[in-house]
Amino acid sequence: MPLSPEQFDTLRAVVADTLEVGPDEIAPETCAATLPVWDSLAHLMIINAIEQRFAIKIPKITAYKVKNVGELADAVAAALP
Amino acid sequence: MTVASPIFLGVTAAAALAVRAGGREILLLAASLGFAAASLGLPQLGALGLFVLAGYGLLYLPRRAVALATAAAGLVALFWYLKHARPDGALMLGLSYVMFRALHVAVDRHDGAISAAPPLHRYLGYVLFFPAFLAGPIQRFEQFAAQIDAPAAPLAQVWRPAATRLSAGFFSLVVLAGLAERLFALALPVDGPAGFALAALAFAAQLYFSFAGYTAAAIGAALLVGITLPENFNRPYAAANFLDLWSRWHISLSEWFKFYIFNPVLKALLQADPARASFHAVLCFFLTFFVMGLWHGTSWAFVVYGLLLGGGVSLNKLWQIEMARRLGRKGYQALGARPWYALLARTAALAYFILALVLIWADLGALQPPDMALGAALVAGIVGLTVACARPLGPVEAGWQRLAATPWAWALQIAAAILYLVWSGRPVPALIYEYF
Repeated sequence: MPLSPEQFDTLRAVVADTLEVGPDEIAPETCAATLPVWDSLAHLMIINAIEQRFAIKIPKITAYKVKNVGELADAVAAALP
Repeated sequence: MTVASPIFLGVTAAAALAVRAGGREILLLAASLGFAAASLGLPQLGALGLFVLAGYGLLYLPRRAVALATAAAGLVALFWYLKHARPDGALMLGLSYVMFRALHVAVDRHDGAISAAPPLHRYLGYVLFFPAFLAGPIQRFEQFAAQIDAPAAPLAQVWRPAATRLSAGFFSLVVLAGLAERLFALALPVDGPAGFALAALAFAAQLYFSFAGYTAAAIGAALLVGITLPENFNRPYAAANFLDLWSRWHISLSEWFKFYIFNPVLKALLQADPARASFHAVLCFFLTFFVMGLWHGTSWAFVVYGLLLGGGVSLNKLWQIEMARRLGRKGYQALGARPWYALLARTAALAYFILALVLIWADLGALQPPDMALGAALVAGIVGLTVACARPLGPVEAGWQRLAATPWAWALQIAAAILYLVWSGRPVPALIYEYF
């Protein structure tokens, strides 16, 4: 099941917080290519922050492979109980 | 062994015709086993078989981190022995790339990303896939499996892009790398800074033209048998900085190291101590690239090569962190967009890489430090001048890419490659990455 709008807003806030940008800069298609501050370090900080906020564990390889916020939302949805 | 050989072309042509009649997976496995057998002597083939089966055994371990770590370390040790410490000293072509694939499947199986151990014939077909056997690209297992399960694209659909990649690949591998190899051989005995600089530039050019050419041919051959391999190069000469170079050069290897060394170590460090994120990142960049450098060989030269790669990426990351702190995110981006800064950053990245490669070819004891220092400055100057002059060449490059997809370009490139081989009377230039 996909994330609810509230859950997606939470995800967006966590990503924006970690990257130190405004939540309006974060959309499902936002990725490292569209936002230069999203580098390999930021990627892992986002994953850790999301795992903590949602109290979930995203499988490692899935976490490394997600390419944008939309795919991240799918990974979170899959990991939620 | 080379992809520009009758054996490789024969196996490719036979497989391309046979696989569309059905039984593609088994036919491709037979082609891959045949190509491996043709590339290696009998003892090496036995060692390869042992290694592949050891890798397959990793998939049946209990799903505990300690078991995986121990067995993976054992596989790496076996690789090290077979590759670098065999008493007969025989070359084990392809072993590195088999190891990268085997470890990827083992870790992903342990992580649950691969839901069940694949049957042995699929595993063998994947780790030994003949177009990518000698030197990659390292395709991910799930991509290979999904393509094997789907029907192969008809020949009518793939032969044109395949011909484009094969002909461009052979031209680059035979003619461009061949000319660079000759230039290198001419420059090597010349004493003084000019000889050093010319040899450094020619070696880097040979490495790029042969490896990118091999990769293009491998991708073209794979297309003919219905498999799309990942790209391994994305105009590395256009890298914006040293970190960016590694998302453009040997991409599938960089991705592998990112997935299986950089990410897990950094993620664990961030969880343990989130306050020092930047420090951990710099440390992990160093560790990852040091290990990547060491993978190339066991001599002291490769230890120093690893230190140079690790030092280069760590310094680049430190610089990014410091500049973003001083100028702010927007200020640093604006600086990066200035032509003089972009030129300096690109020149520094390329010159640093070309000079790090010196460790692979030079007899360092025979070089005079003043010659090396002046030669290094000369390399930086030539690279800078080339980068500055190459800016307006973008449209020419785009035009060539369009032209390269036409039968005229295929014929010209293949004819040039054949003429070059006949005229020079020399074999196809060595693909250096085959030996790592």
